[in-house]
Parts: sequence; structure tokens; C-alpha cells
Amino acid sequence: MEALNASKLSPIHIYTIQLVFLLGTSIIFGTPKSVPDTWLIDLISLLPAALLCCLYAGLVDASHEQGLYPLLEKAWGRYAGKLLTLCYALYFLYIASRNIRDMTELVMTTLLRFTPNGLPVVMFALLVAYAAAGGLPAIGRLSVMIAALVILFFLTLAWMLYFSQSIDFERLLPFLSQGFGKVLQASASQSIWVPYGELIVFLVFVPHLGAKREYRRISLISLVSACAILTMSDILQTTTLGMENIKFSVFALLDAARMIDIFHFITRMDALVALIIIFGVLLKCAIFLYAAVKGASRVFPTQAKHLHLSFALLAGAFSMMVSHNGAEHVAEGLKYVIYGLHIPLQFLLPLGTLLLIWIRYPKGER
Amino acid sequence: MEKSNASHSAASKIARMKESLELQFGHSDDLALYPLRVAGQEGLLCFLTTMTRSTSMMDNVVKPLVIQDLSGISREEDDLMTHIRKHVLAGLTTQLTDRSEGLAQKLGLGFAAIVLEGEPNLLLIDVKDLEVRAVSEPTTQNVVRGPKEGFTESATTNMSLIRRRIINDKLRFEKYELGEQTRTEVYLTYVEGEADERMLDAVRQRLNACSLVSLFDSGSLESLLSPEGIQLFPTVYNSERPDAICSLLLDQRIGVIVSGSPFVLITPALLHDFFQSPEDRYQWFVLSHFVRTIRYIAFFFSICMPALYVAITSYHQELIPTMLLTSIAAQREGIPFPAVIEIFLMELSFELLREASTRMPRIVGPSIAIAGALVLGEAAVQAGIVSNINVIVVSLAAISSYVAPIYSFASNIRLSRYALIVFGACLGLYGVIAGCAFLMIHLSRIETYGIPYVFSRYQRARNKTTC
Repeated sequence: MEALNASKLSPIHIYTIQLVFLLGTSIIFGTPKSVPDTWLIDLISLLPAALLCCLYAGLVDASHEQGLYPLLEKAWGRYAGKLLTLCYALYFLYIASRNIRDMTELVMTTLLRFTPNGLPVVMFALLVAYAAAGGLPAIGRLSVMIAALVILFFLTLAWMLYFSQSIDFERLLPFLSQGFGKVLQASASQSIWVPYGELIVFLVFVPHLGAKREYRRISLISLVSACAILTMSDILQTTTLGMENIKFSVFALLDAARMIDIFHFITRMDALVALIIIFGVLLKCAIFLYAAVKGASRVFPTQAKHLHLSFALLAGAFSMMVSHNGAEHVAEGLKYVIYGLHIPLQFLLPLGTLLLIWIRYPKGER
Repeated sequence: MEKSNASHSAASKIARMKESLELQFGHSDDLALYPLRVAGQEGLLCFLTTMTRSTSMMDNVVKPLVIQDLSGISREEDDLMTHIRKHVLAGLTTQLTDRSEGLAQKLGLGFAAIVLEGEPNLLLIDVKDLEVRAVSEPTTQNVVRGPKEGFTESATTNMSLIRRRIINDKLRFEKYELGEQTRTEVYLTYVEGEADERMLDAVRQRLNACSLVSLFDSGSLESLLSPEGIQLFPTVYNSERPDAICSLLLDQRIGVIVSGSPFVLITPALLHDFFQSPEDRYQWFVLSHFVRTIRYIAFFFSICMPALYVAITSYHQELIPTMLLTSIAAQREGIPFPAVIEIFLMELSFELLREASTRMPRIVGPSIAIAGALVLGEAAVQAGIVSNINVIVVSLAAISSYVAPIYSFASNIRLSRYALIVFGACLGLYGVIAGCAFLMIHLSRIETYGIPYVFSRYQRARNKTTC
């Protein structure tokens, strides 16, 4: 038995981490409902997502297996690089807090209707801190368990919906009622940034991910499988709820799960949906937190292990203060965050960094 | 003059030794100091009667020494002691030493010592012969099909039980003495080439650094071999079954045998090991997989069942199918307590029952069974203290917890159940899920000597060997 290399992740773990990461919240919320054919948006987003992935792979290549933060310093100089590192750390923390908010919103509507939301949030923040403090290999092992659970619960939901005869494929029609252009537009403006663009966080872990070619292959596989599952989830939602209902539903999969009724005996499987989102968000937040802590400990001269707990509580507090109510939170997520944060930080800045590296360090010097 | 001086000093040497031993052992009754005459020389034979048997002492040591005529031997090449060692006592474990300091300790280990008047050296002979329990069927980890031999309290017997299963010259036993007061023999065992060298060094280091005062069972060594920090799951495997231990030794693990304990330890242990019974390898593989799945389900039940009951009945009644809900509600109608209290009452009484039935003298066994089954179960329900469904939930969890093939695993996870009940009572299903998530994170964080507790590479090696 060879002793495990503590810092390198095994390919299976990379795959499951990315899969759960991509499914995380999206499997519940579904794709933005600006067009009737939501499932098509998901399917089509795969292409730009793959291109985005290639951009990130280029960054992996340019960083010489050092990761995002050293790369930023290399491209933008020491001070600007540190500033950008801090920006990214905050950005990751912010997404983590948004995810926690997503989770609390759902838990508050399904499981804990009368509990003040501070308690579950603090508890969740502690869990996230504990998971992130375990390091990447531990997160990898956790992700295998979570991936198994999430997929198991999702399939259970699908089967139950099928057996309760709630699925009607005619609800997928009319097909492309608003034309193909709208679908493309929705895909480009929303779907590729969340969840696919969020893969940028994995650039931080490049030193742990192994060879870049293998990493690119695994990312593409996880991208395709996540896309398949998300599309299935969308089809499931549309075929159960219908295009009109789904438009007004915030937690589409939850509303779909409520249609489960097998012989009036198995009903209301809300808990399964809650399980999916709690576990998915747990892993997602742990990864964001780990990345944020890594960035912060690079900028400030502190050890990473002292930061996990405080950053997790910070994310928890953020999640409660970030918006006044659920509607505001969703509206922010669909509009302001995408244009204000996701597109600059997931696309423009990485692209700029890559160009700068190419200009500043011609081929031989890299 | 010179000769008489020498004989005088030798005589006083015997007397001195006698005196010092009597001082050290404080006239303990089992200290035997017998005068002896070998090859015309006065001598002293000393040993502890409690560490040997007089018949084996007579047959192996005294008779050959006394009967053989040693007076005429040539003393050219060997001195007398070496001659005795080579010709009279050949085949016994003997040592020659010119120091008398460690003598008391050697006697304690089952050695006999012979001092001769004219000889500068002491002859130590291993005459240890102790009463041991016969190899019998193990009391834990029972199997229907498979070997019925179990380890005993004798480390020698245990090593022999392992050796006769692994006929391989790469099998190693390394001896340690642990416990300041007890000096218990501890044997590190592994198969050279299989066990990882660095891991072996780590285990050796920990054994050497052991600062226990006393050591009576391998259980006390478990915390020494575990990783630092608190683990909710056992990270050291223990078994009474030689076949289980041997298969793990061949699976690159390291074993620790403690003299006086029939439980042999294996480190590092993985979660997977605790769901594996040796029988799984002796029966049809489909059945083994089925049974193992049942064990995992039982594990889930034993941890979550009571907590889920509390959470669902007090927070999420809508999750229960309507028919069942009405039946539960009808049963709980007259119960004065909330579900948490009810569950804790039953869990507590079950814990009492379990502890009582483990510790009580065997002869009063039936009375506990009657009190437990009738009074705590049926009567409590009829008296309206707890509901039927509650009794079912608690017993299901209790039975499930004993499905785990290794008892120490079952008893460790029992504690997590109580924490989950509290979580479930405070935060409903969310609390239970959060508790389970905590356990999952905890599981994924545990590493023993750098080997992860879950999803480790050992499992793959194991599968290969079983194929």
C-alpha cells in the first residue's frame, strides 16, 4: 500500500466534488425561468460552460500548478495582485453566504416554519467551518458520500413522481414557443455563470488537483454529468408542474416533490428536497470557505486554521443581512450579482489575467 | 590461601545473592531458593514457584543436572556453565550473564537462575510454565460457519494461533514490555513486505512512548494507537477471532497482541472493517453483500431512529402518512410527556437494562429479563407512561446497534444517538440532518497514520485478495 499523498486529490474525489458543487443549489432552484423551455437552456449552456472551462484550464496551464492567487500576483504585480486576491476571497465568501441564504430560505419554508433563523444558520456555519478545516482530502471524501446521497434522493424523487403519475410529458410542449434566440440569450446571460462559472473557485486548488490534462478531462466529465442531471431535474419540474406554474415557483423541485402521492400513503416528501439542498450547500460552502480562507491567509499574515471559524460565522451573518426577504434575495441573485460580480470575476478578470500573462511573459519565459 | 579466599568469596556470593533476593521479594512465599550441588560445586537454584510447575522444573532442569556426572568433563574449551548450557540443558532458552542486577525481573518473567560457587556467571533458564485457558469458542463475533477457535489470555497461544494460519516466513512478532508496574508483554505482529514501513515505525514509536502504569487488557492500548483528538468512531479494530486478525494482517495491517487479553488489536482500522464479519468471506458472495447492506442500514437505524421519531412526531407530522399519523396520535393520546422525554425515559431504562444484564452474576439473569421485558415494556405502555410506538422505536434502535459485528463499534456509536435526539428535539429534521452531516464530516476527517477512515485504498486491496 503506498502512503497517500496528503495534498493530491484522487480523480474520483475531484469528480464528485465538482459534481456536487455544480448540482448544489441549482438542482433545487432549476434554471432561471425566463423562457418556457428551461431544460433546453440547461442543455445548451453546456457548450459555453465548456468554453469557460477551457479558459480556466488555460489559467491552470499558465499558473504552473500554483493556483489562482499566485497567478494574480504574477500577472498584476504584487500589490494589485494582493488586492485582487482579497477581492476573490470576499467574492467566494459572498457566494457562500448567498448559498447559505438559499438553504435557509428553503429550510424555513419546509422544515422550520417558526424557528428564528439565527439558530439554524449558526449551526450550519459551524458545520461548514468544521468541514473546511478538515482540508481538501477530507472534503473530497465527504463529497463522495454527499454525491451518493444527492443522486440517490434525486432518483428517489423522480421514481416517486413517476409512480404517483404526476409526470406528463405533454407539459413540455409547446417546444420553442419563443424561438431559439431567447433560449440562447437566457443561457448566455444566466445559466453559464451559475453554476458553471462558479467552477473558478477550483483554480485556487490547482496545486491539489494533479496534472492539468487530467484535470481538464475530469472537469469536462463532471460538467457533462452535472448538465445531464440538471436537465433531468428541469424536465422533471416542467413535466410535473407545467410551464406556467414553474414560472412562479422559487423552489421548483420542492413544488414538484409536493406532487408526490403514492396511494395516499407516501406524500409530502419535502424532507428529501431539504436533504438534497442542505448537503449540497454544505459542500459548496465548505469549498468556497476553504478558498476564501486560503486567499485571506495569503494576503494577511495569519495561519489559515485560525480563520475558518470566523469566516464561516461571517458568511452566516452575511447570509442573514444580505437581503431583507426571499424575493429580494432571488432578484439580486438573478440580476445584480450576475452583472456586478459573476461576469467580471468569472470571465473578464480571468481573461484579462490570461492575456496579461501572455503579454508579460512570452512563451519562453513562462 | 588463595583458593580458600576464592571459595570464601564464592560462598559469600551465594549467601549475598540469597540475601539480596530475599530482601527484594520480601520473603514472598513463592520465592524458591534451593541449594544445589553440580559437578561437586555448591550452588543455588532460584525461581518463582508461581511462574512454573514443579514437575516441569524437575524434568527439565533439576534431573539432568543432578543425574549427569559432570565432574570429569574437560574444562579446557568451555567453562562449566557453558558446558551445562550446551550439553545438559540444550534446547531450553538459556542465558549467561555476569550481572545480578536484573535478576529479580528475570525471575518475574519465569526464569530460573543457577549460581555456582566457583563460576563467575549466572545461568538463566526459561522455565515459564503457566496454567492457561484452553482455546475455546470466542464469546463475541460469533459465526455460524467458520473456525470456532478464539484467542485466549496467553500471548504465546495467540501467537501460535496466528502463526499456524499464516505459514509464511515473513510473519513477524516484535516484543515490547509495557506498563511500569505490570511489565506486560506486548507483541507487535505484521507481515513483512505487506505492512507499510513508515506506519510500522509510527506504531513502534507510540509503543515505546507508552507511559501506562498498568496494562491488563488491549483496550487500554487503543487510545495510544488512535490518532490524536476525539473520535466518535473506533479507529482500532479488535477481535477474538484468529481468522479475522489473520486476514487483516495479510491486508497490510499491523496487529498488537497483549498478554492477558483475548482481544487482539489491529491498526489502522477503517469504517468498512467494522461492518465485516469473518463469515462474509466463507459464504456465497451475494449473501455477504446483502448482509453487509443490512448492517449499514442497521447502523443508520441505530443512530437516527429515535431522533427521527422525536423530530417527525414533534415538528413534521405532515411527513407521516395520514393513517399512520392517526394511529400514532391515538396511542400518544394519554401520554403525559412530550416525545423527547418519552424517548429518553425508554432509552435510559434500556441502558440500565443493558448494563445490568452485562454486569450481573449469571445466576440472577432470568429476573432481569422478566423485569425488563414485562415491567419496562408492557407495563409501562399499559400504565400510560410511554406509547407503544416509542417502545418499538427504541427496541428497533437497540437491536440495530447490536447488528454491528464488533461490539466496541456498537457501543461507541450509541453515544451519538443521544446527541442526535437532542438535535432532533431542538431543531426537528433540520437538526437531525445537521447532526448526520456532522457525523459525515467527522468520518471524512478521521485519518489514522495518514490512512483515511472512509474510502481508503485498503478496500480495493481487500477485494483483490478475495477474488
